[in-house]
Amino acid sequence: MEYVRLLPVKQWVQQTISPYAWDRAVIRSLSRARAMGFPLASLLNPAPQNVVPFSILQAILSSLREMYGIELPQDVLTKATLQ
Amino acid sequence: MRVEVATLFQVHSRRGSVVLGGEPHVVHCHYYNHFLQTSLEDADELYPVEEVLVGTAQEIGHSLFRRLFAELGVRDIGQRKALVESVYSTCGFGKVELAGLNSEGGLLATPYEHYAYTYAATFPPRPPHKRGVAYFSQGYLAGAIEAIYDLPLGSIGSRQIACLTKGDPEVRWEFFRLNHLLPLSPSVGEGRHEEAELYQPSFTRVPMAQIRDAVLRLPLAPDSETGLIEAFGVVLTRLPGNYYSLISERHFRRMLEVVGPEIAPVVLDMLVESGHVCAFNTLGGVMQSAEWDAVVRPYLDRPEDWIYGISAILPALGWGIVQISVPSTPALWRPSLKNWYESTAIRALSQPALDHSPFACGLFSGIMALIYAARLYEQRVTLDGTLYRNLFQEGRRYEGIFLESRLAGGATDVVEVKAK
Repeated sequence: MEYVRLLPVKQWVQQTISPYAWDRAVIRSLSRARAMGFPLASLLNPAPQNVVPFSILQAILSSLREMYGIELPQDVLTKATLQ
Repeated sequence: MRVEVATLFQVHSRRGSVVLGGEPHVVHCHYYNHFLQTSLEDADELYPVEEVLVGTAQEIGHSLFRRLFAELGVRDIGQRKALVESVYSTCGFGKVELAGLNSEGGLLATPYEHYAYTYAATFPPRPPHKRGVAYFSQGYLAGAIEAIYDLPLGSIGSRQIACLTKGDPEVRWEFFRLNHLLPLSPSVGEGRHEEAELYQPSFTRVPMAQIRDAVLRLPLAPDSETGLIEAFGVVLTRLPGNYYSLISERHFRRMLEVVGPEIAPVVLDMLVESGHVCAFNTLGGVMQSAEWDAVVRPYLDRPEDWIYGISAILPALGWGIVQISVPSTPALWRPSLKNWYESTAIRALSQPALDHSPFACGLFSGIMALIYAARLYEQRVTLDGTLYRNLFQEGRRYEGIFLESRLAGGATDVVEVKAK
Protein backbone atom coordinates (compact mmCIF):
# COMPACT_ATOMS: atom_id res chain seq x y z
CA MET A 1 0.00 0.00 0.00
CA GLU A 2 1.33 3.45 -0.89
CA TYR A 3 1.57 6.02 1.88
CA VAL A 4 1.65 9.81 1.61
CA ARG A 5 2.24 12.79 3.86
CA LEU A 6 -0.76 15.05 4.41
CA LEU A 7 1.04 18.13 5.72
CA PRO A 8 2.17 19.54 2.33
CA VAL A 9 -1.35 19.10 1.01
CA LYS A 10 -2.90 20.76 4.04
CA GLN A 11 -0.53 23.72 3.74
CA TRP A 12 -1.33 24.14 0.07
CA VAL A 13 -5.09 23.95 0.68
CA GLN A 14 -4.97 26.48 3.50
CA GLN A 15 -2.92 28.93 1.46
CA THR A 16 -4.74 28.45 -1.82
CA ILE A 17 -8.36 27.95 -0.75
CA SER A 18 -9.00 28.60 2.95
CA PRO A 19 -8.36 27.12 6.40
CA TYR A 20 -11.94 25.84 6.38
CA ALA A 21 -11.46 23.99 3.14
CA TRP A 22 -9.10 21.58 4.88
CA ASP A 23 -11.42 21.04 7.84
CA ARG A 24 -14.35 20.47 5.49
CA ALA A 25 -12.46 17.98 3.36
CA VAL A 26 -11.32 16.11 6.49
CA ILE A 27 -14.88 15.86 7.81
CA ARG A 28 -16.01 14.50 4.46
CA SER A 29 -13.27 11.87 4.53
CA LEU A 30 -13.41 11.08 8.21
CA SER A 31 -15.63 8.05 7.99
CA ARG A 32 -13.20 6.23 5.68
CA ALA A 33 -10.11 7.38 7.62
CA ARG A 34 -11.49 6.22 10.95
CA ALA A 35 -12.41 2.85 9.46
CA MET A 36 -8.73 2.53 8.52
CA GLY A 37 -7.61 3.45 12.03
CA PHE A 38 -6.68 7.10 11.48
CA PRO A 39 -8.23 9.39 14.10
CA LEU A 40 -9.48 12.93 13.50
CA ALA A 41 -6.44 14.63 15.04
CA SER A 42 -4.01 12.89 12.68
CA LEU A 43 -5.89 14.35 9.72
CA LEU A 44 -6.72 17.79 11.07
CA ASN A 45 -3.21 18.48 12.33
CA PRO A 46 -0.84 16.11 10.56
CA ALA A 47 2.74 16.09 11.83
CA PRO A 48 5.49 16.57 9.21
CA GLN A 49 6.44 12.89 9.01
CA ASN A 50 2.98 11.36 9.60
CA VAL A 51 1.79 9.31 6.66
CA VAL A 52 -1.62 7.93 5.65
CA PRO A 53 -2.68 5.47 2.94
CA PHE A 54 -3.01 7.06 -0.50
CA SER A 55 -6.72 6.21 -0.54
CA ILE A 56 -7.31 8.69 2.29
CA LEU A 57 -5.59 11.44 0.34
CA GLN A 58 -7.67 10.46 -2.68
CA ALA A 59 -10.85 10.90 -0.62
CA ILE A 60 -9.70 14.34 0.53
CA LEU A 61 -8.79 15.38 -3.02
CA SER A 62 -12.13 14.15 -4.29
CA SER A 63 -13.88 16.32 -1.70
CA LEU A 64 -11.85 19.37 -2.68
CA ARG A 65 -12.64 18.76 -6.34
CA GLU A 66 -16.33 18.52 -5.58
CA MET A 67 -16.47 21.50 -3.23
CA TYR A 68 -14.20 23.94 -5.02
CA GLY A 69 -13.54 22.48 -8.45
CA ILE A 70 -9.82 22.51 -7.62
CA GLU A 71 -7.14 19.94 -8.50
CA LEU A 72 -3.96 19.47 -6.51
CA PRO A 73 -0.87 20.61 -8.49
CA GLN A 74 1.61 17.89 -9.40
CA ASP A 75 4.46 19.48 -7.41
CA VAL A 76 2.41 19.39 -4.20
CA LEU A 77 1.47 15.79 -4.86
CA THR A 78 5.16 15.00 -5.40
CA LYS A 79 6.00 16.63 -2.06
CA ALA A 80 3.32 14.54 -0.37
CA THR A 81 4.63 11.28 -1.81
CA LEU A 82 8.31 11.90 -0.99
CA GLN A 83 9.33 9.81 2.00
CA MET B 1 -60.66 34.27 0.82
CA ARG B 2 -57.57 36.17 -0.26
CA VAL B 3 -54.97 37.02 2.36
CA GLU B 4 -52.08 39.44 1.92
CA VAL B 5 -49.43 37.41 3.74
CA ALA B 6 -47.08 40.35 4.27
CA THR B 7 -49.69 41.87 6.59
CA LEU B 8 -49.82 38.73 8.75
CA PHE B 9 -46.30 39.14 10.16
CA GLN B 10 -46.51 40.34 13.75
CA VAL B 11 -43.71 42.68 14.79
CA HIS B 12 -42.76 42.36 18.47
CA SER B 13 -40.66 45.44 19.12
CA ARG B 14 -39.74 44.39 22.66
CA ARG B 15 -38.51 41.02 21.42
CA GLY B 16 -36.81 42.12 18.22
CA SER B 17 -38.82 39.45 16.48
CA VAL B 18 -41.14 39.16 13.49
CA VAL B 19 -43.60 36.29 13.90
CA LEU B 20 -45.85 34.40 11.50
CA GLY B 21 -47.92 31.41 12.58
CA GLY B 22 -46.17 31.38 15.96
CA GLU B 23 -42.75 31.11 14.27
CA PRO B 24 -40.19 33.90 14.54
CA HIS B 25 -38.91 34.63 11.03
CA VAL B 26 -35.43 35.97 10.35
CA VAL B 27 -33.87 37.48 7.25
CA HIS B 28 -30.74 35.84 5.84
CA CYS B 29 -29.02 35.73 2.47
CA HIS B 30 -28.24 32.86 0.12
CA TYR B 31 -24.53 32.90 0.96
CA TYR B 32 -25.30 32.22 4.62
CA ASN B 33 -27.98 29.68 3.77
CA HIS B 34 -25.59 27.70 1.59
CA PHE B 35 -22.60 27.96 3.91
CA LEU B 36 -24.59 26.60 6.84
CA GLN B 37 -26.24 23.86 4.79
CA THR B 38 -23.02 22.67 3.15
CA SER B 39 -21.30 22.66 6.55
CA LEU B 40 -23.86 20.08 7.61
CA GLU B 41 -23.77 18.21 4.31
CA ASP B 42 -20.03 17.67 4.74
CA ALA B 43 -20.90 15.23 7.53
CA ASP B 44 -23.21 13.13 5.41
CA GLU B 45 -20.99 10.05 5.66
CA LEU B 46 -20.91 10.37 9.44
CA TYR B 47 -24.64 10.59 10.07
CA PRO B 48 -27.75 11.04 7.86
CA VAL B 49 -27.86 14.84 7.68
CA GLU B 50 -31.09 14.73 5.71
CA GLU B 51 -32.81 13.70 8.92
CA VAL B 52 -31.76 16.99 10.47
CA LEU B 53 -32.20 19.29 7.46
CA VAL B 54 -35.52 17.90 6.24
CA GLY B 55 -36.92 16.77 9.59
CA THR B 56 -36.39 20.15 11.27
CA ALA B 57 -38.07 21.96 8.37
CA GLN B 58 -40.97 19.51 8.50
CA GLU B 59 -41.51 20.15 12.21
CA ILE B 60 -41.56 23.89 11.61
CA GLY B 61 -43.77 23.75 8.50
CA HIS B 62 -46.30 21.60 10.32
CA SER B 63 -46.43 23.75 13.46
CA LEU B 64 -46.50 27.02 11.52
CA PHE B 65 -49.36 26.13 9.21
CA ARG B 66 -51.46 24.38 11.83
CA ARG B 67 -51.26 27.55 13.86
CA LEU B 68 -51.79 29.88 10.92
CA PHE B 69 -54.84 27.96 9.66
CA ALA B 70 -56.31 28.08 13.17
CA GLU B 71 -55.56 31.79 13.65
CA LEU B 72 -57.23 32.67 10.34
CA GLY B 73 -60.00 30.09 10.59
CA VAL B 74 -59.04 28.54 7.23
CA ARG B 75 -60.67 25.11 6.85
CA ASP B 76 -61.12 24.75 3.10
CA ILE B 77 -58.36 22.63 1.52
CA GLY B 78 -58.07 24.87 -1.52
CA GLN B 79 -57.77 27.97 0.62
CA ARG B 80 -55.16 26.28 2.80
CA LYS B 81 -53.11 25.40 -0.28
CA ALA B 82 -53.37 28.96 -1.57
CA LEU B 83 -52.19 30.28 1.78
CA VAL B 84 -49.18 27.94 1.83
CA GLU B 85 -48.26 28.98 -1.72
CA SER B 86 -48.55 32.62 -0.77
CA VAL B 87 -46.47 32.27 2.41
CA TYR B 88 -43.86 30.29 0.47
CA SER B 89 -43.29 33.04 -2.07
CA THR B 90 -43.72 35.94 0.35
CA CYS B 91 -40.85 34.51 2.40
CA GLY B 92 -38.68 34.31 -0.72
CA PHE B 93 -38.56 30.52 -0.91
CA GLY B 94 -39.66 30.53 -4.57
CA LYS B 95 -42.87 29.44 -6.28
CA VAL B 96 -44.91 26.29 -5.77
CA GLU B 97 -48.37 25.19 -6.88
CA LEU B 98 -49.98 22.63 -4.61
CA ALA B 99 -53.13 21.94 -6.67
CA GLY B 100 -51.97 18.44 -7.70
CA LEU B 101 -51.40 17.22 -4.15
CA ASN B 102 -53.85 15.25 -2.05
CA SER B 103 -53.81 13.68 1.41
CA GLU B 104 -51.66 10.83 0.06
CA GLY B 105 -49.04 13.28 -1.21
CA GLY B 106 -48.05 13.66 -4.86
CA LEU B 107 -45.44 15.28 -7.06
CA LEU B 108 -44.41 18.91 -6.85
CA ALA B 109 -42.13 20.71 -9.30
CA THR B 110 -40.85 24.25 -9.67
CA PRO B 111 -38.11 26.06 -11.58
CA TYR B 112 -37.84 28.54 -8.71
CA GLU B 113 -36.66 27.35 -5.31
CA HIS B 114 -34.30 29.56 -3.27
CA TYR B 115 -31.60 27.04 -2.37
CA ALA B 116 -31.49 25.32 -5.75
CA TYR B 117 -31.76 28.47 -7.84
CA THR B 118 -29.03 30.37 -6.00
CA TYR B 119 -26.74 27.34 -5.67
CA ALA B 120 -26.95 26.68 -9.42
CA ALA B 121 -26.10 30.33 -10.07
CA THR B 122 -23.17 30.42 -7.64
CA PHE B 123 -21.40 27.07 -7.27
CA PRO B 124 -20.10 24.24 -9.52
CA PRO B 125 -22.68 21.60 -10.52
CA ARG B 126 -23.31 18.85 -7.97
CA PRO B 127 -21.98 15.39 -8.81
CA PRO B 128 -24.54 12.76 -9.88
CA HIS B 129 -24.34 10.76 -6.65
CA LYS B 130 -25.37 13.75 -4.52
CA ARG B 131 -29.00 14.56 -3.84
CA GLY B 132 -30.40 18.02 -4.63
CA VAL B 133 -30.01 20.99 -2.30
CA ALA B 134 -33.67 21.80 -1.61
CA TYR B 135 -33.80 20.16 1.83
CA PHE B 136 -35.58 23.03 3.54
CA SER B 137 -38.43 23.27 1.05
CA GLN B 138 -38.80 19.49 1.05
CA GLY B 139 -39.37 19.33 4.78
CA TYR B 140 -41.31 22.60 5.03
CA LEU B 141 -43.72 21.49 2.31
CA ALA B 142 -44.09 18.01 3.81
CA GLY B 143 -45.08 19.65 7.10
CA ALA B 144 -47.41 22.01 5.25
CA ILE B 145 -49.15 19.09 3.49
CA GLU B 146 -49.69 17.41 6.86
CA ALA B 147 -51.22 20.62 8.20
CA ILE B 148 -53.40 21.14 5.13
CA TYR B 149 -54.97 17.68 5.55
CA ASP B 150 -54.98 17.71 9.37
CA LEU B 151 -52.53 14.82 9.41
CA PRO B 152 -50.23 14.19 12.37
CA LEU B 153 -46.66 15.46 12.27
CA GLY B 154 -44.35 12.91 10.66
CA SER B 155 -47.00 11.14 8.60
CA ILE B 156 -45.74 12.39 5.21
CA GLY B 157 -42.46 11.15 3.79
CA SER B 158 -40.61 12.98 1.04
CA ARG B 159 -37.69 12.86 -1.33
CA GLN B 160 -36.14 15.26 -3.80
CA ILE B 161 -35.92 13.67 -7.23
CA ALA B 162 -34.62 16.50 -9.44
CA CYS B 163 -32.61 19.64 -8.90
CA LEU B 164 -31.37 22.66 -10.85
CA THR B 165 -27.95 22.01 -9.32
CA LYS B 166 -27.69 18.71 -11.19
CA GLY B 167 -28.67 20.03 -14.61
CA ASP B 168 -32.41 19.36 -14.30
CA PRO B 169 -34.71 22.12 -15.57
CA GLU B 170 -36.66 22.19 -12.31
CA VAL B 171 -36.70 21.09 -8.70
CA ARG B 172 -38.98 18.13 -8.10
CA TRP B 173 -40.08 16.42 -4.91
CA GLU B 174 -42.19 13.40 -4.22
CA PHE B 175 -44.42 13.32 -1.12
CA PHE B 176 -46.09 10.17 0.15
CA ARG B 177 -48.06 8.89 3.15
CA LEU B 178 -46.09 6.74 5.56
CA ASN B 179 -47.48 3.79 7.46
CA HIS B 180 -45.53 4.93 10.51
CA LEU B 181 -44.76 8.33 12.02
CA LEU B 182 -41.34 9.90 11.61
CA PRO B 183 -39.78 10.69 15.01
CA LEU B 184 -40.36 14.45 14.84
CA SER B 185 -41.28 17.00 17.51
CA PRO B 186 -43.46 20.11 17.25
CA SER B 187 -41.52 23.31 16.76
CA VAL B 188 -40.38 25.30 19.80
CA GLY B 189 -42.28 28.30 18.38
CA GLU B 190 -41.24 31.50 20.10
CA GLY B 191 -39.04 29.49 22.43
CA ARG B 192 -38.05 30.84 25.84
CA HIS B 193 -38.24 34.42 24.70
CA GLU B 194 -37.41 37.55 26.66
CA GLU B 195 -38.30 41.20 26.29
CA ALA B 196 -36.39 44.48 26.44
CA GLU B 197 -36.43 48.00 25.07
CA LEU B 198 -34.08 48.92 22.26
CA TYR B 199 -31.61 51.01 24.24
CA GLN B 200 -30.77 54.45 22.88
CA PRO B 201 -27.12 55.17 23.77
CA SER B 202 -26.43 58.74 24.87
CA PHE B 203 -23.03 58.75 23.15
CA THR B 204 -24.36 58.70 19.58
CA ARG B 205 -27.00 60.57 17.65
CA VAL B 206 -27.83 57.42 15.65
CA PRO B 207 -31.60 57.06 16.28
CA MET B 208 -31.83 53.33 17.03
CA ALA B 209 -35.62 52.93 17.09
CA GLN B 210 -36.15 55.20 14.11
CA ILE B 211 -33.75 53.13 11.99
CA ARG B 212 -35.27 49.84 13.13
CA ASP B 213 -38.73 51.08 12.22
CA ALA B 214 -37.58 52.34 8.82
CA VAL B 215 -36.12 48.93 8.00
CA LEU B 216 -39.29 47.22 9.17
CA ARG B 217 -41.15 49.27 6.57
CA LEU B 218 -38.91 48.06 3.74
CA PRO B 219 -41.09 45.77 1.63
CA LEU B 220 -38.42 43.10 0.85
CA ALA B 221 -40.94 41.82 -1.66
CA PRO B 222 -40.40 38.74 -3.82
CA ASP B 223 -40.28 38.92 -7.59
CA SER B 224 -43.77 38.08 -8.83
CA GLU B 225 -42.52 35.50 -11.34
CA THR B 226 -39.83 33.74 -9.27
CA GLY B 227 -40.87 34.24 -5.65
CA LEU B 228 -37.26 35.15 -4.88
CA ILE B 229 -36.23 38.29 -2.97
CA GLU B 230 -33.28 40.12 -4.47
CA ALA B 231 -31.97 43.01 -2.38
CA PHE B 232 -28.65 44.47 -1.19
CA GLY B 233 -26.76 42.48 -3.84
CA VAL B 234 -27.88 39.10 -2.44
CA VAL B 235 -30.94 36.85 -2.54
CA LEU B 236 -32.79 36.99 0.78
CA THR B 237 -35.15 34.66 2.60
CA ARG B 238 -37.43 35.29 5.54
CA LEU B 239 -37.00 31.84 7.03
CA PRO B 240 -38.19 30.57 10.43
CA GLY B 241 -35.24 31.28 12.73
CA ASN B 242 -35.83 28.03 14.59
CA TYR B 243 -34.68 26.19 11.48
CA TYR B 244 -31.20 27.69 11.57
CA SER B 245 -30.94 27.38 15.34
CA LEU B 246 -32.13 23.80 15.55
CA ILE B 247 -30.14 22.44 12.62
CA SER B 248 -27.02 23.99 14.18
CA GLU B 249 -27.77 22.49 17.59
CA ARG B 250 -28.76 19.09 16.20
CA HIS B 251 -25.72 18.92 13.91
CA PHE B 252 -23.41 19.78 16.81
CA ARG B 253 -25.02 17.12 19.00
CA ARG B 254 -24.92 14.44 16.29
CA MET B 255 -21.26 15.16 15.57
CA LEU B 256 -20.38 14.90 19.26
CA GLU B 257 -22.21 11.57 19.42
CA VAL B 258 -20.64 10.13 16.27
CA VAL B 259 -17.09 11.46 16.45
CA GLY B 260 -16.60 12.48 20.08
CA PRO B 261 -15.71 15.70 21.90
CA GLU B 262 -12.62 16.27 19.76
CA ILE B 263 -14.88 17.34 16.89
CA ALA B 264 -16.41 20.21 18.92
CA PRO B 265 -13.86 22.92 17.97
CA VAL B 266 -14.19 22.08 14.28
CA VAL B 267 -17.99 22.24 14.25
CA LEU B 268 -18.07 25.38 16.38
CA ASP B 269 -15.55 27.05 14.11
CA MET B 270 -17.75 26.33 11.09
CA LEU B 271 -20.71 27.90 12.88
CA VAL B 272 -18.58 30.94 13.76
CA GLU B 273 -17.59 31.10 10.12
CA SER B 274 -21.26 31.12 9.12
CA GLY B 275 -21.53 34.35 11.12
CA HIS B 276 -18.62 35.85 9.17
CA VAL B 277 -20.28 34.84 5.91
CA CYS B 278 -23.52 36.47 7.03
CA ALA B 279 -21.89 39.70 8.24
CA PHE B 280 -19.83 40.00 5.10
CA ASN B 281 -22.51 39.33 2.53
CA THR B 282 -25.79 40.47 4.07
CA LEU B 283 -24.69 43.24 6.42
CA GLY B 284 -21.87 44.33 4.13
CA GLY B 285 -24.43 44.68 1.36
CA VAL B 286 -26.80 46.58 3.64
CA MET B 287 -24.10 49.04 4.72
CA GLN B 288 -23.34 49.89 1.10
CA SER B 289 -26.94 50.14 -0.07
CA ALA B 290 -28.94 53.14 -1.20
CA GLU B 291 -31.35 52.46 1.68
CA TRP B 292 -28.49 52.73 4.19
CA ASP B 293 -27.33 55.97 2.60
CA ALA B 294 -30.84 57.39 2.85
CA VAL B 295 -31.87 56.19 6.31
CA VAL B 296 -28.73 55.68 8.39
CA ARG B 297 -25.79 57.50 6.84
CA PRO B 298 -26.97 61.02 7.77
CA TYR B 299 -26.38 60.10 11.42
CA LEU B 300 -22.93 58.56 11.04
CA ASP B 301 -20.40 61.04 12.43
CA ARG B 302 -17.65 58.62 13.50
CA PRO B 303 -16.69 55.03 12.63
CA GLU B 304 -18.30 53.83 15.87
CA ASP B 305 -21.64 55.12 14.66
CA TRP B 306 -21.57 52.46 11.94
CA ILE B 307 -21.59 49.86 14.72
CA TYR B 308 -24.66 51.43 16.29
CA GLY B 309 -26.40 51.90 12.95
CA ILE B 310 -26.05 48.29 11.85
CA SER B 311 -27.03 47.11 15.35
CA ALA B 312 -30.27 49.08 15.07
CA ILE B 313 -31.18 47.13 11.95
CA LEU B 314 -30.87 43.66 13.45
CA PRO B 315 -34.22 43.67 15.35
CA ALA B 316 -35.94 44.46 12.04
CA LEU B 317 -34.34 41.34 10.58
CA GLY B 318 -35.92 39.42 13.47
CA TRP B 319 -32.64 38.48 15.13
CA GLY B 320 -33.32 40.03 18.55
CA ILE B 321 -32.26 43.28 20.19
CA VAL B 322 -28.67 44.49 20.39
CA GLN B 323 -28.09 46.72 23.43
CA ILE B 324 -24.98 48.90 23.46
CA SER B 325 -24.55 50.63 26.81
CA VAL B 326 -20.78 51.20 26.60
CA PRO B 327 -19.16 52.95 23.63
CA SER B 328 -17.39 50.61 21.25
CA THR B 329 -13.81 51.22 20.13
CA PRO B 330 -11.83 49.77 17.21
CA ALA B 331 -10.30 47.35 19.72
CA LEU B 332 -13.33 46.30 21.77
CA TRP B 333 -17.10 46.01 21.50
CA ARG B 334 -19.30 44.41 24.12
CA PRO B 335 -22.95 44.22 23.02
CA SER B 336 -25.70 42.64 25.13
CA LEU B 337 -28.16 40.57 23.17
CA LYS B 338 -31.80 40.41 24.18
CA ASN B 339 -33.94 37.62 22.80
CA TRP B 340 -31.16 36.61 20.41
CA TYR B 341 -33.04 34.20 18.16
CA GLU B 342 -30.56 31.36 18.32
CA SER B 343 -30.38 31.39 22.14
CA THR B 344 -34.14 31.72 22.48
CA ALA B 345 -34.81 28.68 20.30
CA ILE B 346 -32.10 26.43 21.73
CA ARG B 347 -32.92 27.44 25.31
CA ALA B 348 -36.35 25.89 24.83
CA LEU B 349 -34.76 22.47 24.44
CA SER B 350 -33.88 20.31 27.40
CA GLN B 351 -30.12 19.95 27.85
CA PRO B 352 -28.88 21.51 24.62
CA ALA B 353 -25.38 20.72 23.42
CA LEU B 354 -24.50 24.30 22.46
CA ASP B 355 -23.73 26.54 25.44
CA HIS B 356 -23.62 29.77 23.42
CA SER B 357 -24.45 31.09 19.95
CA PRO B 358 -21.37 30.57 17.76
CA PHE B 359 -23.19 32.33 14.94
CA ALA B 360 -23.28 35.51 17.08
CA CYS B 361 -19.53 35.27 17.74
CA GLY B 362 -18.86 35.25 14.02
CA LEU B 363 -21.48 37.84 13.18
CA PHE B 364 -20.34 40.54 15.59
CA SER B 365 -16.64 40.02 14.92
CA GLY B 366 -17.52 40.15 11.21
CA ILE B 367 -19.22 43.52 11.69
CA MET B 368 -16.13 44.87 13.44
CA ALA B 369 -13.86 43.55 10.69
CA LEU B 370 -15.97 45.15 7.97
CA ILE B 371 -16.11 48.52 9.66
CA TYR B 372 -12.61 48.83 11.07
CA ALA B 373 -10.43 46.53 8.98
CA ALA B 374 -12.15 47.09 5.62
CA ARG B 375 -12.77 50.73 6.67
CA LEU B 376 -16.28 50.69 5.34
CA TYR B 377 -16.89 54.05 6.94
CA GLU B 378 -14.56 55.83 4.51
CA GLN B 379 -14.66 53.76 1.31
CA ARG B 380 -16.82 51.59 -0.88
CA VAL B 381 -15.49 48.06 -1.05
CA THR B 382 -16.10 45.15 -3.38
CA LEU B 383 -17.51 42.27 -1.36
CA ASP B 384 -15.57 39.56 -3.15
CA GLY B 385 -13.48 36.55 -2.29
CA THR B 386 -10.28 38.56 -2.08
CA LEU B 387 -11.62 40.88 0.60
CA TYR B 388 -13.23 37.96 2.45
CA ARG B 389 -9.95 36.07 2.59
CA ASN B 390 -8.19 39.22 3.74
CA LEU B 391 -10.63 39.83 6.60
CA PHE B 392 -11.40 36.34 7.80
CA GLN B 393 -8.95 33.78 6.54
CA GLU B 394 -5.45 35.19 6.43
CA GLY B 395 -5.63 35.65 10.18
CA ARG B 396 -8.94 36.72 11.65
CA ARG B 397 -8.95 40.39 12.56
CA TYR B 398 -11.47 40.08 15.39
CA GLU B 399 -12.66 37.36 17.70
CA GLY B 400 -15.96 37.17 19.58
CA ILE B 401 -16.54 35.24 22.79
CA PHE B 402 -19.53 35.03 25.09
CA LEU B 403 -18.90 36.64 28.49
CA GLU B 404 -22.33 35.50 29.60
CA SER B 405 -24.71 33.12 27.86
CA ARG B 406 -28.35 32.25 28.42
CA LEU B 407 -27.53 28.78 27.11
CA ALA B 408 -25.06 28.32 29.95
CA GLY B 409 -27.44 29.49 32.67
CA GLY B 410 -26.64 33.19 32.43
CA ALA B 411 -29.27 35.89 32.82
CA THR B 412 -28.48 37.39 29.44
CA ASP B 413 -26.21 37.07 26.41
CA VAL B 414 -23.13 39.29 26.38
CA VAL B 415 -20.60 39.04 23.57
CA GLU B 416 -17.12 40.51 23.72
CA VAL B 417 -15.47 41.26 20.39
CA LYS B 418 -11.78 42.03 20.54
CA ALA B 419 -9.18 42.93 17.95
CA LYS B 420 -6.61 40.17 17.61
